[in-house]
Amino acid sequence: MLRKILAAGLALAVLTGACFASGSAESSGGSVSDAIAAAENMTLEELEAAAKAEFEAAGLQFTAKGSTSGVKNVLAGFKEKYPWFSYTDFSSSKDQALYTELTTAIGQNQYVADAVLIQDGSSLQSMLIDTEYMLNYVPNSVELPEADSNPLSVLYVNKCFLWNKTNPEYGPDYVTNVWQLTGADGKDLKGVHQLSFQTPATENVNMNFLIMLTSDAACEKLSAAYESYFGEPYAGGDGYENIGYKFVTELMGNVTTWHSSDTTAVKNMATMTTGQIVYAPLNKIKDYPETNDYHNDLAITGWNVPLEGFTSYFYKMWLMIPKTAKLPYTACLFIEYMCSPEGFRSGWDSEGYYSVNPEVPVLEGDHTLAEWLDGAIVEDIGYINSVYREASTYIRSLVM
Amino acid sequence: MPKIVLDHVTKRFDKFVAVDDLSLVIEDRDFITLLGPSGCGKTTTLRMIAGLETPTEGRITIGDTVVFDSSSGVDISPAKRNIGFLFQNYALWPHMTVYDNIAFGLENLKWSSSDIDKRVREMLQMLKIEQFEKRYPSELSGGQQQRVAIARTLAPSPKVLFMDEPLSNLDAKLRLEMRSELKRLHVDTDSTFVYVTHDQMEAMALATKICLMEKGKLQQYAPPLEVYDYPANLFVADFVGNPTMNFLPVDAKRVSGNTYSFSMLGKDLLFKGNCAIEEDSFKAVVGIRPEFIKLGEGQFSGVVYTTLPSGMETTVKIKCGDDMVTAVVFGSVDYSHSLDMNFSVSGNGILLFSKESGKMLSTGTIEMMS
Amino acid sequence: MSGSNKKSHLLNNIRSAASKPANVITVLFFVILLFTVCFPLLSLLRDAFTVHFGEIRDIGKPVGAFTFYHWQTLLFDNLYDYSVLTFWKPLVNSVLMAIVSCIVAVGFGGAVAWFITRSDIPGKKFLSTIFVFPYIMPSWSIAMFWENFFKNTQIVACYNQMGMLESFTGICVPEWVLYGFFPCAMCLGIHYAPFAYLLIGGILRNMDANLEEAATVLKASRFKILRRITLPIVTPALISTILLVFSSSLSSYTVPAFLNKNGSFSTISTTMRSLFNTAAMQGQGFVVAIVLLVFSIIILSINNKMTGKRKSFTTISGKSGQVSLVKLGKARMPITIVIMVISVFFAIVPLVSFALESLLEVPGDYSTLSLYYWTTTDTLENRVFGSSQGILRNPTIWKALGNSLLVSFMVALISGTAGILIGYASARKRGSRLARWVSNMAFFPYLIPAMSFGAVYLSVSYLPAFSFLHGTVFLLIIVGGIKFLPFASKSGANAMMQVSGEIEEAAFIIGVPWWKRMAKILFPIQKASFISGYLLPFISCMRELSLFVLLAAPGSIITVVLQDFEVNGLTQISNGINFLIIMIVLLVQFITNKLTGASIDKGIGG
Repeated sequence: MLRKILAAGLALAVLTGACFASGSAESSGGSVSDAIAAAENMTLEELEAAAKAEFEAAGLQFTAKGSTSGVKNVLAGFKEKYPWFSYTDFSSSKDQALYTELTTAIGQNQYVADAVLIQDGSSLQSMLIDTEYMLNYVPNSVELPEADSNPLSVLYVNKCFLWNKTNPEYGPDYVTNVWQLTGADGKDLKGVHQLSFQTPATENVNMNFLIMLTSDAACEKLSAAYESYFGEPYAGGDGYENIGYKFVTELMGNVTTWHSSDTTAVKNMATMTTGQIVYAPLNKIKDYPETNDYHNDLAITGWNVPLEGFTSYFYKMWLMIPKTAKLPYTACLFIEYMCSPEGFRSGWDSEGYYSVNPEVPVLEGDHTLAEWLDGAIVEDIGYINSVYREASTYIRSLVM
Repeated sequence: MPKIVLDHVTKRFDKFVAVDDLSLVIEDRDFITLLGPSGCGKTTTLRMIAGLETPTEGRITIGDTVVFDSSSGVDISPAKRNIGFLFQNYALWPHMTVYDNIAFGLENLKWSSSDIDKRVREMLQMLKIEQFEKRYPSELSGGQQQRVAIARTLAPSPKVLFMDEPLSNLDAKLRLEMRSELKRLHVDTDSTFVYVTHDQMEAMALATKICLMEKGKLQQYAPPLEVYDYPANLFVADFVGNPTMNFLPVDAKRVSGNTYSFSMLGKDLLFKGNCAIEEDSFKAVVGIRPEFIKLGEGQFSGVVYTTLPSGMETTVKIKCGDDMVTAVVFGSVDYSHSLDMNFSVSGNGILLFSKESGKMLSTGTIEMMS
Repeated sequence: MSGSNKKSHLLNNIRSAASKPANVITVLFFVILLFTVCFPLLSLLRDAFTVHFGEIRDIGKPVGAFTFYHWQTLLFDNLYDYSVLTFWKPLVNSVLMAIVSCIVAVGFGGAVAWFITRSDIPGKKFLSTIFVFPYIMPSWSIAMFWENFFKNTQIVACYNQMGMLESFTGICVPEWVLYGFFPCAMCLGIHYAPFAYLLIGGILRNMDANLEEAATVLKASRFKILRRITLPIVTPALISTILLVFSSSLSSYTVPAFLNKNGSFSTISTTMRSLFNTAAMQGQGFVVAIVLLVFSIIILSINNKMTGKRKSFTTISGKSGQVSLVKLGKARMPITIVIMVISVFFAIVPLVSFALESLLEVPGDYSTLSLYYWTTTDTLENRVFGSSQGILRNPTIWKALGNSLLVSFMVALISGTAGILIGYASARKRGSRLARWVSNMAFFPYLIPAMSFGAVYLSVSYLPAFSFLHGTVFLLIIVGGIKFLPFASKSGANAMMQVSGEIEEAAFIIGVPWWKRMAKILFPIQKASFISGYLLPFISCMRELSLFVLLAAPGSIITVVLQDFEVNGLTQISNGINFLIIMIVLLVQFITNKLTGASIDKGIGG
């Protein structure tokens, strides 16, 4: 009996040890950051040479990970430009799976990928940047705004309010002020009562959007729209911390459908002709049934109809290098490529994807990023992280 | 050849003692029955000898081989003990035909297929089940299944055969038939049989020696008639014999030598013992086999309570004061109820037990005090 | 005793213990399960008490530091009623939902079980075949169907779209029928009704008819017999069903996530998913996982307590067969129609609707029926992994399907075999503490959420010693083999318990080696039950995603490919793949049944 207990105890101890001990492989972070620092001082030609040399010496395949499937096409474009390059097949991951995989692997000092394109600023900051699991590279072949270069946000994506405007009753001027979306009737306009939204409890991009609505910049926009909608300025005194909180509260209270997939929601819009409004990424119109024409069918705020207050919410996708990458020079070159007009458009050539590089030409019928940003709420990692706990708890309480 | 020796064998399940310090020697070619009420440890004992159960303590030897020894950690697998085992529920393999059931064990002994076939046919014939060869166990009656089980067990010619209440699932007539066949088999196969039963008649009829157990303890280990005539204690006396022995409590006082006096069934009596008894005066129980009570005339008188004729013999219960006495009469008689009845107690086989220890002290005769 | 003597004594003891396969199996699986099951369990426990990435800012301690923060916040934080809204209310909702789904499952499944075994209802064979479909299908497929059926133009939350019911009859059900508590409980109830049917039906079928006949002779009415004789006898199965349905419903995620479009109904499992999804709240997600685990453990130990002792009364007596069937008389046709309609409705129609969805070029528009998404050679979408041709021509889909079949087959082989061995050991070593531990441990994977189970093995695969497993199907096979062990070991144990020890001993005595006893005696006798023990893991594994999502390489297995198509908007293809998966599962079950007589019911009902 004693032996049994001893054996069980020993096994438990071993297990617990294994369980609590973190992996202790060789640290390779140093060499990657050195490589990045070196690459930042190279010309494009030098970098191309360094990457080629590195790639050929290593005899490895390049691996990129990301939560958007456009990366697949960028890899193909990159390969076309640099024939020496080869890569492992790409498949987009869900955000959560990607974060888990990255923190697990890098936390154990293991290789996971050479470059990662990832969204959700609040998670990125706390899980990957603060921990120095992912390193930043600032490309020098392109001129980028300071704010977008560290961390490097190569891709801007926006979410707008969409509706099917083919029914004259819900034409292009059905919604013109964001306060209509709270359901309250204004001076001249009526509130809407059919709003489809993906819950911020599971969709982090939407949580970040709602948090951004409480920022000063957003409050300003909301205040102006409020005054024009109700005919009087917002007086406060109704218990909300600011007008952003008021808007968020009423917006969430007015949601009638909590859809679980933006893609499916947009796909279904062909038959949604009775005034249903869907909050979804503009780029999802590529999934709109081919038998119909979204240019004719859909009203999209900021794209083909105006919206007082704000037209859309812009979130970003960051392209970074894991500290355990094996091909850092190639990764840097890959980043250069993805920032270039050619590289960017090889991955994303439809409405709703915008490069921070102003050189990337705008698509016909779309607006430039600058034009868009003018009327938009934009993701700001710093702000989100500064108020995250309080604001997200509040927003959660609205939707649970 | 195989003499089986159990040496201080004990089996405990958690705190429950199933077999308590049992020592037993089973001689070669014995037909031993392990007899006792259910839960007395007889099946456990059998399974320990066979190796299906591991004793907690003790030592078991079969032939020259120590098959189990708790002190040296020896525990030989049943497969290597060269034994056969007949299970209570036959344990026939339901997915094999009768033939395959018998042949499977032989195949396993790497016999040649012609030898196997020969042996299986021999067994089928011996147990008169040739016509069922291709059937599955579920297509056989209980008696037929039993025969298959026996054939399967005997096929490899084991030197020792263990049987765990093999007849308990058969009807009365079949059971009698199988009993005699088993006894015949014992002679024919020339091997040692160890047989578990709770049926004392079966034990009496079959065994060369009965090992009677209660609550894990050995009560008596002797040939059947010895157990019947000289039961070691009250438990044995009560368990063996049908109808059961009459027990009458008395206060015994020594008169002289082995002669004691007491009053019983309303009479003052003398018991003349055949053995020496230590105590002069003690609480005792007198045991009288029903066949020692002669009805019709005698010193004792009572009233007929019930009569249970069974053809060849008749059991008569007589109420005698506060006591009830059972007698067996040869032949079929039918006394009417409440008939006054005189009877006598005869023979040298009257038993005297100590009430306190339950031990049988002496056999003897009973006489009226003059 | 001298030293060397003692040593040889010990050696002898070990040798003699090791000569008994049940001992070896018990010890072997104790060690295996200690690592494969206790490791995830411990790490789950650890995660509920330590700081994760993303929580550093709020907690102010480094990653891995010990903290009560998660518990305190989730259970007691009153900021904006946080703990009430995110934990206590969903918990109550979940418990209520689980209770109602138990009532539905036991009521419906039990009634059908009774009708099939004890009445003269026609079409029993057909009914008993299709009645188990909803259990074979993933639970969300019923939820999806429920929505397609009941949605109507009066409900804003479904975009006022017309569902089947409205288009055929014009009836518009109120919103509570379509979304929230009621449909969730109903869908889960319907999903688990076959489970109740199998468990209760198994007992009714094996129950000695004499028991009921004895009461009939005593002039007890039918109802009285049902109430006083039949019900008490099936009580253990009833309790077993209730508790298993209860704990499964409690932790069900897909159904409440799907039928909550109006946002009126939050459950503890949706809470858990949302917490896991949020970087700063992962620890709280683990707290919910632990709470669910504790719930399940309590429920299962009640189950074991209540059924453990009574089970022996209800095993096969082998004498049934001449049950006098209740004549339903006038009620026969109405009852038949009701049961048939409901069964067909939830068994066949969802399948048809999957098939239909894959045939519609424009979702919801039935005038656009075509085989386009099945047969086209066009590249439908260049962002999905591998090829995106029509399903029938798509090499990626076929390869992944092949892989899934391989993984499921291997998983079934591993967990089914392990289940049989564990069942064997626990049946032979009844009463041994170690054997009890092993069989309990084998049940634990059932209690660990699939996602966190996967996450633990992801981190194992990054350990240098195990890196050879990373991203391979071997890893999937191992993880699946462990995760799907519980039901396999349960059915293995049931099957083993039914075979009397003597059957094996009869072979043991004549020196048949252990493997041969297993292969030639025990397996053939309980073939049907054992193969069912293989079938259950196979079915579960074929349709599993959340367990594998972190571990599977892109395009490696069919559910991962399915998700890729789904995410990239090709819902016709994802529906078509769903249809394929369900058909394959049904086909495998059908073929197995025809070849071996085994079926899923033998595994659970045992």
